[in-house]
Amino acid sequence: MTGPAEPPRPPGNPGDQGRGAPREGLPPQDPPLSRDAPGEPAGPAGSPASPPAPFPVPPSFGAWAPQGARVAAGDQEYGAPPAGPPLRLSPKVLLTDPIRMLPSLFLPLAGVLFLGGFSPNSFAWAAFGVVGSVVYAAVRWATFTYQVVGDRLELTRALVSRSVRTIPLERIRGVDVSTPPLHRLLGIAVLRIDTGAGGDDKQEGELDGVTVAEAERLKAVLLWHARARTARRAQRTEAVQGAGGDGSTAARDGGPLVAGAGSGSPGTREGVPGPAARHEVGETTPERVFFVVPRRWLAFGPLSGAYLLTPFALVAGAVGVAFQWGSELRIDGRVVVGAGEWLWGHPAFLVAALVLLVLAMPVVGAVMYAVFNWDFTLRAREGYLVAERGLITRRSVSLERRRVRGFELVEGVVERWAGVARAWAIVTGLGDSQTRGQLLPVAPRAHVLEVVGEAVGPIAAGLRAHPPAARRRRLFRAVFPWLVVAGCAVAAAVTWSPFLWALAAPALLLAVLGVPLGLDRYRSLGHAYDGSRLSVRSGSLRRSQAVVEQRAVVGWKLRQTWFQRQAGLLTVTAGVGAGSGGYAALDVGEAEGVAFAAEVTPAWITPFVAADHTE
Amino acid sequence: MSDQADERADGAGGAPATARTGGGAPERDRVPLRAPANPVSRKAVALWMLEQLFWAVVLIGGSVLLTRWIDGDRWSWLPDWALDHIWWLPVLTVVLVLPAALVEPFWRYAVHRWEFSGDVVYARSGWISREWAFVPVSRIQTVDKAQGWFERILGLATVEIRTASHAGSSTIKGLDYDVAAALAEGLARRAEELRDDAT
Repeated sequence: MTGPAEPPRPPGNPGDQGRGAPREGLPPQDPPLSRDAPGEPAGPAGSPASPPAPFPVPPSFGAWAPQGARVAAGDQEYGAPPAGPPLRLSPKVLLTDPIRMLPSLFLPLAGVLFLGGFSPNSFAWAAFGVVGSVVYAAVRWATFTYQVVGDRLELTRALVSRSVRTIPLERIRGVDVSTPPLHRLLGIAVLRIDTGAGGDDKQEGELDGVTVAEAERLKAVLLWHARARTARRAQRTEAVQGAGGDGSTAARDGGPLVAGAGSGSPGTREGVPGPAARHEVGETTPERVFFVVPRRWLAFGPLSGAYLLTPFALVAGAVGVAFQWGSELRIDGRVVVGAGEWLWGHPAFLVAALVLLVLAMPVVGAVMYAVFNWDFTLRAREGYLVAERGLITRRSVSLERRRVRGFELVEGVVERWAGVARAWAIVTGLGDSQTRGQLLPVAPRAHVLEVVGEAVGPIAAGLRAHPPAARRRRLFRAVFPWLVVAGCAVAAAVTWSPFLWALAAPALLLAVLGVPLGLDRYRSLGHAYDGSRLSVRSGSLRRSQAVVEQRAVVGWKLRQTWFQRQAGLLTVTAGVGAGSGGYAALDVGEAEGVAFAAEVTPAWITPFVAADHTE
Repeated sequence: MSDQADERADGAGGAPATARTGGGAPERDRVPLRAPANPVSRKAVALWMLEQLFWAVVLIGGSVLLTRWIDGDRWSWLPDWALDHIWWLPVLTVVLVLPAALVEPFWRYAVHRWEFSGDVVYARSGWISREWAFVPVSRIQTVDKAQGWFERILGLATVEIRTASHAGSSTIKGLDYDVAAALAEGLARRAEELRDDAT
């Protein structure tokens, strides 16, 4: 960090802790790069946001260090990351904030007006509420600033006490820009910073209300900084390992090229197989559109079952609103109840309404789906996969390609019949990956595989089937519970009341349907390993196949229940530090399960395989 | 490898050498994995026994109270034959819970074993169901050593080894405190040596 860029800061700034402190072990003369260090505790690998570890966490970036270093050589600029002045959100939030608060204010206000009668007094109170919310928004706006300082983004809020949230840029894993309708109207956007802090949202940052241009600029800056920072660090690590302590200074001062050309220590990259080098983050790939989902494919939406229950939710919501606000609309609660009773008294209308709702299901579902997935576009931009979608709220999610470890292909039972599928990326440290990691909405399977194959990697073919004992278990589990219910219901129907036959019949039907379900679940089961990616598949009503890179595996867990033991099966779960955390091959044969784990990571498993089981 | 942890464990565990080769449930071990080298501490049996007895007392006490309540109020929706024999409920609870509480600790002791090979932590646990965990040291993020209330009394400790995934993490219960300390220490040292891409 160069001197002039240092912004004026008050002394007791909490964010300042550690920044002023000299970093131990660093020579005093190193000019630009030393600024990047104090944000983290001494070691090259730790960082403020990482959980307290008894030893430094291994560096996560060894895998692509050479690329990073090469980029560093080509781009001298980011030795001195610029620090802009503290910035405020767009003043337009003074409009959006109170409007967003309106729903929560509306009821109390209405309550005051109606309960207190329309007296001047209650109007005064209502006005006070409205003015208060505007003032509150104004104060919030005036006291909130954000600023990129060196290698950090600092969000400062000085409302009552001063609080600074510091987000190290290197921990930023993605930046979402979304524009809710009102924001879009005013030309502002919400910028959400994903740091992948493992679920605790304390580390996440949100800038609600920056101009669209500023959002784009900031997004570029944040992601660029994150890349530059990691590249620099990789370079330094490389230098330190290549040339010892002194070499680091030399490399930093004069020769990033030296550092880049250095062989590095094989120890850091030894365990990482080839594919790791595929996603070069620093690589300046031009923006490239993988796929724009044609609008007619929106018709596939309802096949996934998404939003199908919307009509019922809408009706329930309407009834709720009628009850809540009935008094304001001069509708007595008794009228609503009366209407309900009248409806109950005329079953024909009730049935008609139900039929109408059921008929509306696919239509409304399709509309909702279309609104959310309008013009779904997947593109690659400088080391990121960017998925954009939405008609009213345009939402864009950036996934760092370097952190993509695989994908999950999901097909519901209807979708399989129609030959369509959905796909999600498995990304390390992406919270809420079910909505955010989506690579493609419902689309023909062949296209999904093609796009995913291009963006992430090919799907594993030739899944190995599981032993017949697994089929017995799937069948038993699909049929038996319903048989028990049916049996109990029949017994109760015989002894107590014939009404319970109404329960017994569907249970029996479900038990019968369990046979094809169980068989299909068995057919879904499979696992495979092709040398760099492992794949597991399971499920029938929602069949899901995960394909994960071998290097993402962080451990194994083999489980065997008493029943599985009798059947000679076990469940093998590959622990993956991404996506759902673990991907399981259900009911594999005992020997096959162990062999599978040993095949993927031989060094970890083979020492423990019993000598007399060498088949 | 041959870490201190192992040597200490061998000494401290004091398990009969026969347990080493046979593994936990010797009847028919068809899963082609050998048993991990080290048993947990003998005192772990007492620990599990204490825990199980605690829960057994809670369950039995609860069932007695529930029975008294049902019997006193003569719950009307229960059929008569159930009300007449309601005192079978706590008896049934005792019959089901107590043997399990008495058997489980010994069964667990036979199954629970662990090994630290220098590169991988291999642990087996469970009793009716079993679980084998393999945690490569290069992927470890944190190692915690914890002592619960009962563990404290008995001088035992639990080592929790965490990676980025719950499925890649492992918890080894019932180690002697010294063994646990040495294991945690050894893991930390080894992990530092083995820096690797751990995401």
